[in-house]
Amino acid sequence: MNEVTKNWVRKFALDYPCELTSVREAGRQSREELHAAGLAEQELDHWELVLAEAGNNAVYYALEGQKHKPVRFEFYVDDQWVEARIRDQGPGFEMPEEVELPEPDSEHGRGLFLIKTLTDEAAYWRGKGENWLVLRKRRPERETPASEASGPPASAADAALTEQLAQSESTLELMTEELASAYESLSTIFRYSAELAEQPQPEEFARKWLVEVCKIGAADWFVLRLVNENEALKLVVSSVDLTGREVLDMENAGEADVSLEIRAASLRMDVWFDGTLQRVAAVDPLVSVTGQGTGFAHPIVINDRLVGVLSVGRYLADKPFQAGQVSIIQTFGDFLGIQIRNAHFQKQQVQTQLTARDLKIAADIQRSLLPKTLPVLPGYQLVGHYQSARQVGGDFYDAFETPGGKVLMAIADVMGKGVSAAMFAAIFRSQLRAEAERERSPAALLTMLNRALFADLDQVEMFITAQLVLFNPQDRSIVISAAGHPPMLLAGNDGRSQEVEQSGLPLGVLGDSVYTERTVLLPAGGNLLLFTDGLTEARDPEGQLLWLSPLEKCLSQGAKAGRGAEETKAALIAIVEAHEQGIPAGDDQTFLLLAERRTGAKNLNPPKQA
Amino acid sequence: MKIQHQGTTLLVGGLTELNAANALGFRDAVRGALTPQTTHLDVDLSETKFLDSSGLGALIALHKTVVANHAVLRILHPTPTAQQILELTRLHRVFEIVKT
Repeated sequence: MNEVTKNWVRKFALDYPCELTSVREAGRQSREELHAAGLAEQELDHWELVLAEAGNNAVYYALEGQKHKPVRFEFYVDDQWVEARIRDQGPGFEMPEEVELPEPDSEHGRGLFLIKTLTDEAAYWRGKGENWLVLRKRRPERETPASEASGPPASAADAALTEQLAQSESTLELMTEELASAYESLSTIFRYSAELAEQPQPEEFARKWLVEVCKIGAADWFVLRLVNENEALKLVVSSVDLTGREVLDMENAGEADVSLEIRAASLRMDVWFDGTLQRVAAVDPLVSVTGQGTGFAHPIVINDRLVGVLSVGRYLADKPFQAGQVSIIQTFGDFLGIQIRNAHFQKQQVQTQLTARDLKIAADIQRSLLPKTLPVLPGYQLVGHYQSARQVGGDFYDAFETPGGKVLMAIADVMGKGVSAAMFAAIFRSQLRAEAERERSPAALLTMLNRALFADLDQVEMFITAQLVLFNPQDRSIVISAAGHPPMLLAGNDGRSQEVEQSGLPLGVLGDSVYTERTVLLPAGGNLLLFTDGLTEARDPEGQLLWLSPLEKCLSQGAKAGRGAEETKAALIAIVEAHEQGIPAGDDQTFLLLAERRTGAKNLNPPKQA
Repeated sequence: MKIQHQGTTLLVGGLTELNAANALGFRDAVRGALTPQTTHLDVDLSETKFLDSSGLGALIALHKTVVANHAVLRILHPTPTAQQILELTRLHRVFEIVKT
């Protein structure tokens, strides 16, 4: 409802106690006053009913403790309109656009319908402690002689009184408007706060929010920068001007050496600017926006920490911001900063929780993959080792007996981390165990596994390096097949060692890879080591890799000295730890070690010579 | 307000206003006068110059009471003002209205 200065034919105000009988009496009194203002009978009937309904509502909904305050009726009548304002002290309500009639058997709910039906305009201004229902109704067209409309000439005392009344009315109107705008501001805050919870893009949220703030603060443009991880002011969002362009170029908006925004940030104070700044700071990005205009950069500081800088301005220098507008913009800017920070913090927390959960699941899977017991072979010892890196990877080993009294040893490294890597390790393991129940060669198994896993691995661009070794204790034969995996190490009690490498693409690289295998013999008193590259690529504090030779040396020394598998395992781990010097491993470290058991005297041992 | 029994008809009249201030008193007084023998409740609105939504609420309450007793509520000779409010709120379709 627009306020227009009018020459009222008649204005009057009535205060009545906040009770039903009194507000009814106020309606009758108003009717008389309106009659004196020249309203027709039909108009008077309607107004009397409307005022009764409005007055009743003011009584019904008045808050306890407010009922001592009168219900106020104010009227403004000219020859085209009648406006009535009814003040209540209730909690207020939302004036609906359309009011529908209740069900015919409902005893309530017709008051507002009558008000809306019998008036042309109805608005409800909510304020602090009091609200105003403002109702306007157009007066019917009528032929009125000019002399009658002008009325009798007013005395000087009347004129003074009228003047005084007009002043207090305009003060009240200003107050009412301020109350209404405070309500609008609050409801905007609540609406946008609620939205933030669902708004994943803080930029979009900030833009919508700031458009509202600019409207309330009557600003033409805004620029919001937030402090990023590098403590630099990152341009988050800027307003779109009338031509539809961003007022600041998002690409080249942060290069200025001299910046009003940086000054505001470092001083932690509002920095004001107008057209005179142009000479001083020609390179300032804000100057290019504001030109001759006026505005200020407001640092958003929360708990002593700088969150960002909000700059707002007007294109015209002769329209400075008023104090109320400045404080609204500052308050909204600070509130927005809190919201964005909270949202960011929440997102980080969720991410941390997700990662922690992901890692826990992966670690659980990983642990479940490792065999609880390893096969017991007469004359041999088999031990495994798995050391996970901080971020769980996809290493695992397995060993189990296959038909014919042989032992199949497997070691694999899924390239990738977390749950997905652990899942592929699990699939690999179960497929391997299922397929190996029938007697198959390592090469045939790898070929089959690659075919089974290829589509899934390819889709997520992961692959697996693996090595399968089938050991036959009867003839000491070792059949090895590998898919892009590091070599196997063999060492004999003669102190010699060898790397046995079998080429082949990792699983998941080519769908129709065919793997090959070869057979070697376990040397007398021998050690056999399968490992993943986390072992050879262990780093010292300078970043130097361990490589293969220390491990090979340890293995052959162990064989020569006739050490048991557990002892050699401990020695291998000691070598890796000594190399790392406390540096946490970057990758899983896994190995599987088979050692020929020494039974009594050395000369009894090598069956090869027998 | 005048309340009269005429056989099985309860006649209520003399209402200059039916508004928020007197609606509940009107409703309760009429309810108190209804008997199990009442077949008709006639509410005479010929003197009613003012009727508001609370008055309508009281009429609806009485209508429901009467219907529950298998009786009928009739509105007699409403003033133009009352008639207009009844029509505006579509209640002229709910009540049986006897015009002059």
